[in-house]
Amino acid sequence: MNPEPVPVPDLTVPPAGLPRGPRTVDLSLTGRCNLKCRYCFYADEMAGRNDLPTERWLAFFEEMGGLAVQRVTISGGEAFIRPDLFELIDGIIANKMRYAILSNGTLITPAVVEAFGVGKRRLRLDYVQVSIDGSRAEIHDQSRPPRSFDRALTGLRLLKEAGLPVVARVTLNRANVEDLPNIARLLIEDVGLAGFGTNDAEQMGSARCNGESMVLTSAERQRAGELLTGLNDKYGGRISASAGPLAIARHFAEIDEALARGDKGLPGAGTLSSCGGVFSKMAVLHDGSMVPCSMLPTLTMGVIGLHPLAAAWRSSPAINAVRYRREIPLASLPECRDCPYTGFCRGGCPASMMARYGRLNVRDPLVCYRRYKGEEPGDAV
Amino acid sequence: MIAKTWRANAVVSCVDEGEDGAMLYNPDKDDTVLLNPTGRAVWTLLAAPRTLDEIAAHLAGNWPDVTAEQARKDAEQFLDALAPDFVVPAADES
Repeated sequence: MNPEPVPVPDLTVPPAGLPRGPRTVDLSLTGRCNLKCRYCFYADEMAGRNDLPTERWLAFFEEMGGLAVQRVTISGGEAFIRPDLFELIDGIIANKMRYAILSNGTLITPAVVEAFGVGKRRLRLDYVQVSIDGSRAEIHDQSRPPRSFDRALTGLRLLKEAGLPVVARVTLNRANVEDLPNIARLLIEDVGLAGFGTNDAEQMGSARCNGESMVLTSAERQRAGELLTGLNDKYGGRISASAGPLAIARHFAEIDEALARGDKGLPGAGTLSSCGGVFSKMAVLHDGSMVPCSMLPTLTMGVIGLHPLAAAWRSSPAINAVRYRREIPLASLPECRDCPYTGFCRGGCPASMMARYGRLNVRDPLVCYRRYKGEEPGDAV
Repeated sequence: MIAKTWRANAVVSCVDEGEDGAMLYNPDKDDTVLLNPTGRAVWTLLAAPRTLDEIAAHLAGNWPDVTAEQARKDAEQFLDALAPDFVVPAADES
């Protein structure tokens, strides 16, 4: 028997209750980078698009301010490679927003740290996130060019010593899983960070070519989840994750507990609801393309300066297609039809599915509890 | 004696939520306040400096079932709730 077809909604009409504008916008301010990392998810976009000039961004910040956008997350490429970065930050501040910066850390110098002291740059800064993928150069630099580790750690320490809000992001890859205890010791005990975030390398961007040496196997992902869970116990919950091995391990533990209680499902689960980010945030690529998420770069909602942000946010079929995944019951998907755990599942990340399969409306096997339990044909997660 | 005047803090953004009212956001404090439609009307009024009496008169004038006494109490409560992060003395904008 075929699964019940799901009606196709009018994708120019936003779901009920959608805010009039995004609360957060992720901005890839540049496609240039001083490194060439082996798992960079943005590598394909960096090769084929040009950076917007300062004035185009400043005009867009005014448009965002008019919609009462609250915060932006700046990334690249490498954001600190833009000589006008602080001029752009001042434009963000002038339009009543806060900001965060995602960086590889290698271009952070004493002069950069000093520049944060001007005006409200420090007051409005949520955090600078520096990528650290190993406790020492031999590991960190397996995914990055030589000398990256020393420069990134120097940048991280400069920010910390200046009292700026700084966090680290560890992207799990095949080179660093067993180094996790040393990484945690370095970041929390040695550098003195409040904690750090984790994720894992995805099969997109430069990892398409380097995937065999970068993207975790099922066994490595499970091992990373176990290690991170143990380290989080040791460090009092100071390791965070919204995706990747730790997030998956937490979700599976949540399902274990719910099943033990006899629950029939989890709140917000049972459909392709995923992270829900598209209901409050969106992204802009460095050429001005508006997209639902920087990891969904092919779903163009419009171009800043040419298409109004408010209309793109509410009426673009590209982003509404991601939002309306929430209406698709997992039980209607062929791969999930007879799964007893659909009431506990949110289907995984749509960007991962687009990258791996070129389709939005499928569930991610990496977050499949039935596979994890060994109850579905295929590798355990 | 010159009455104290108040106005909207210039750093605060306001997003209109239609029938639900409005949401104010102070990016310096990273703080949010939800306003009902009446609160939104007062917020709009505070685009220019206003005294407590002027705010109360606006409420009494636009909501006929509100007494002058209740309007003054509501205006005081509004300023108590929103000052100093969202509403500031007119000569003291951050």
